[in-house]
Amino acid sequence: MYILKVLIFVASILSGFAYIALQIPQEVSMPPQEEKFDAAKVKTVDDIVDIGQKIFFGKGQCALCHALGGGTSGRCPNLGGENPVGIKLTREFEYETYTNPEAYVYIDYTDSPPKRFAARMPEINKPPIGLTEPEMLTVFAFLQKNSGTVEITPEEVIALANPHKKEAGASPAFVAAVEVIPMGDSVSGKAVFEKLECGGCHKIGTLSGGDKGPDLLPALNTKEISVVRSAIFEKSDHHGSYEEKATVKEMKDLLSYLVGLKEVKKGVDGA
Amino acid sequence: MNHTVETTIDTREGGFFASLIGFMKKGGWLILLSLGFFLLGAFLNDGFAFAQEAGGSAMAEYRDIPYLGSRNAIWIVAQLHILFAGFVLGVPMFALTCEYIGYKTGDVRYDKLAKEFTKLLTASFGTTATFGAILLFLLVGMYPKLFNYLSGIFFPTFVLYSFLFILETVVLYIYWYGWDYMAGRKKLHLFMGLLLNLVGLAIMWTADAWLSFQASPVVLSDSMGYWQKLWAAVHNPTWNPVNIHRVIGNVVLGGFMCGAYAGIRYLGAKTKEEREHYDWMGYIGNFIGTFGLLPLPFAGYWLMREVYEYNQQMGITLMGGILSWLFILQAIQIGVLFLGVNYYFWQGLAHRARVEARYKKYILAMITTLILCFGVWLTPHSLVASLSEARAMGGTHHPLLGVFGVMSAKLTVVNLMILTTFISFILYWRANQESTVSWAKAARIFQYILFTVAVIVVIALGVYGYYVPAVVRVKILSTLQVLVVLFVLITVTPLTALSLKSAKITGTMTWGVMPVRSQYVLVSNGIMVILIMTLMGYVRSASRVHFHIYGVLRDTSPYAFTPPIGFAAVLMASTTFMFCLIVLFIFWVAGLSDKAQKKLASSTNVLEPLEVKD
Repeated sequence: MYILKVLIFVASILSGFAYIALQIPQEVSMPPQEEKFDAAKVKTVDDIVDIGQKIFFGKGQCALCHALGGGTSGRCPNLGGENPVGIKLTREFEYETYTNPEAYVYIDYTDSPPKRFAARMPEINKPPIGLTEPEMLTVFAFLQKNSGTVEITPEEVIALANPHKKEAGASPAFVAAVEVIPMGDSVSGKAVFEKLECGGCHKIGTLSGGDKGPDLLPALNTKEISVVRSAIFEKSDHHGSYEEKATVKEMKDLLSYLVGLKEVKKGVDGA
Repeated sequence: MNHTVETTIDTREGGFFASLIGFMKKGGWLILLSLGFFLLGAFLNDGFAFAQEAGGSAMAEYRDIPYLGSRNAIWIVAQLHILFAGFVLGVPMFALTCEYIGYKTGDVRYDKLAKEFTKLLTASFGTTATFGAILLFLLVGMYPKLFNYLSGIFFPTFVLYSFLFILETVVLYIYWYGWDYMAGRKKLHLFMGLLLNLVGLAIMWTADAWLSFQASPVVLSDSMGYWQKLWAAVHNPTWNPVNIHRVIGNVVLGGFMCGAYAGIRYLGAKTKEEREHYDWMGYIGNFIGTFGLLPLPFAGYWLMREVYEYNQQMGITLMGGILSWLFILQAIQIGVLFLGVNYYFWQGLAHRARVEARYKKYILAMITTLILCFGVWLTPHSLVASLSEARAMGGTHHPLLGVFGVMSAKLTVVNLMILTTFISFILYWRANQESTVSWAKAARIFQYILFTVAVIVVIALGVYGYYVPAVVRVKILSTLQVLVVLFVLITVTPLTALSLKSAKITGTMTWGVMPVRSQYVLVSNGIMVILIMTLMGYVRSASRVHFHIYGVLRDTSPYAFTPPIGFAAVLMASTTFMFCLIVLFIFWVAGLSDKAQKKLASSTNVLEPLEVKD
């Protein structure tokens, strides 16, 4: 008899558990369709935006974390709202946030006090999301549409989707970005140094500059390049954020310029 | 003399019935059941869907089972297998611990307890293996594409697994059948127990490699050699966290299953001696289960952290996506478990130690803390609300309760619940004992300070967590909270043990007087642990979403979707009930030998005078 009581007790616990679970919204999560990007369907800008929208809410899984307008309590930055990302960010920056989000994505898009993302963004060109470059470009077109103007053209998307045209020298913006971003150009970096008026506050060894900020040479000689990079790219109390003043490419050029100076100055100092 | 009689009785009863019991004890009933399924399958052969088998020569990717569905079949069998596997690995840990305590203290009750549970092992070992075999057959038959892929990488580990399994069987038989034979060589027997555990762990870690690879596969490039690939696949990012989590989890399962078994036997006890014995057994089971339960959330936290490190998307799907509600269910289960564990301790203080009055105010404070923490833990991040309710709240986040729905609050209350349970644990441990060492007062003051500081630090870090970026909270603050609580655990436990080593007993511990409700709590604790295992097993599997191997091998079967939580819960509850029924059956089968022994003893008494006459 006591065994029967125990069994009834166990069944009651399990039924209670199942009952509670049944009170929660019942959703079935279907696997995303394996849609092949079909360049032949791209005729107009609206076609690109439509594809981008589907990817944003589907395969790309962007909507899982990002909102497009509304409140600011989302897990990750709101990509719409009063200051939508589509008109604010360059293609290079956008491409980098998709493919290498750990690099500089920590800078917030909003004008509110900076905050880091509550959840880090996955590399969406790799599994399990694995968007192709034309697909990413359509997502960006969709975000631009939410900002008002779409700069991306059907020709760009078609060219990016067509490997023969790519080899033939067609230069879709995203491909160009891939080639330029990882390296940085120290010559261009000098122009960025002047554009941002870094020399107004900093001198670098024997190179003249202001004295409001520290001499950069000791830091360049002793710190890891990643530390220098963070000091330049991340917003600080001293020089704010550069996100509105320079593109990511320019910032990389600047970094290349400074790293080059370190080597030159070492030689000068040692002479 | 006894031997003669035993032989006689064996011969007398050793016909078909005894053979059948022996066969069934070794899991043979499941072999019969499998055979039944096979025959049923053959009968339903026309109903089997070979939809994706193209032609006669092409290899099928999937096969289905009508009505039940291949995924549900795998789901049920895999969960039953893993529950029994946990039992089979957890019980030796429990048994070895008890046997060692018995050896060191000279208390024969521990040795008896260890032996009683090892007897259950022999019955459940075969059941585990049988479910494992059914699982393998189902995988090979229903998911050949997946199995083929895994075989291509892991085949040497299949061979290793088989070898380890044979070794485990041999060691288990020596450990069990050599118990009395090695009574005079206890160290050797303890060594066999240790070996049994080590081989068991090796088996589990081998299987962990397969399942963790499915969730966190690594790149296996063509430039790598065969063995290099194999090791890279085995040593994937979540392998070690899963290993550690499962080791501790099995200790918890072993302890609470012992508690549940003792609770059931206590309820059916007919004599005072039986009640005393099973009350004591329940106390030991609860004690060991709790001991494992306290560090278990830390291992779980490490696993989740590694999941996030491995793939943000998977972490988000788990903690913020469709699966996040499962963690609310988990919070309910663990909350009930914590309450049950503490309640049992408090019942022990009231009935066995009879010191309830002394600790009443502490118990009141602890129950208040636990309930408040429980409430915070199960507060969801976003509430299910109607449109008008959502408008009134200004969104799906409640203006006040929304504060408790975030990880900073949840991790804080989990740590506080662990600390509270640890206090219950220590209070019960110290009940009716008075330390006689000269530094007893200093040790007690130190413990008070340590607990107070730990609580303040855990809360302060939790509050600070609201003001820092997530990465700082996850990587630094939460880790600090864990370290603070772990420090308290590993400092206070040996300190208490040392201070009570030669303690004066100030009151008697009366066994066999616990109320019936306390025994149902033991059963509830056991059920909660099993349910948590089924739930988290599902979560781990569902985190791969529509992939067999995350990001690598896509599930293209009709069952690639994630089912609704209610369906999953009903299936989990049903599986748990099935497991309970089978375990009860095993307990019953194992108990048959006790009855036979009693019968033997009574027969001996009858036959002895005849022997004298001769």
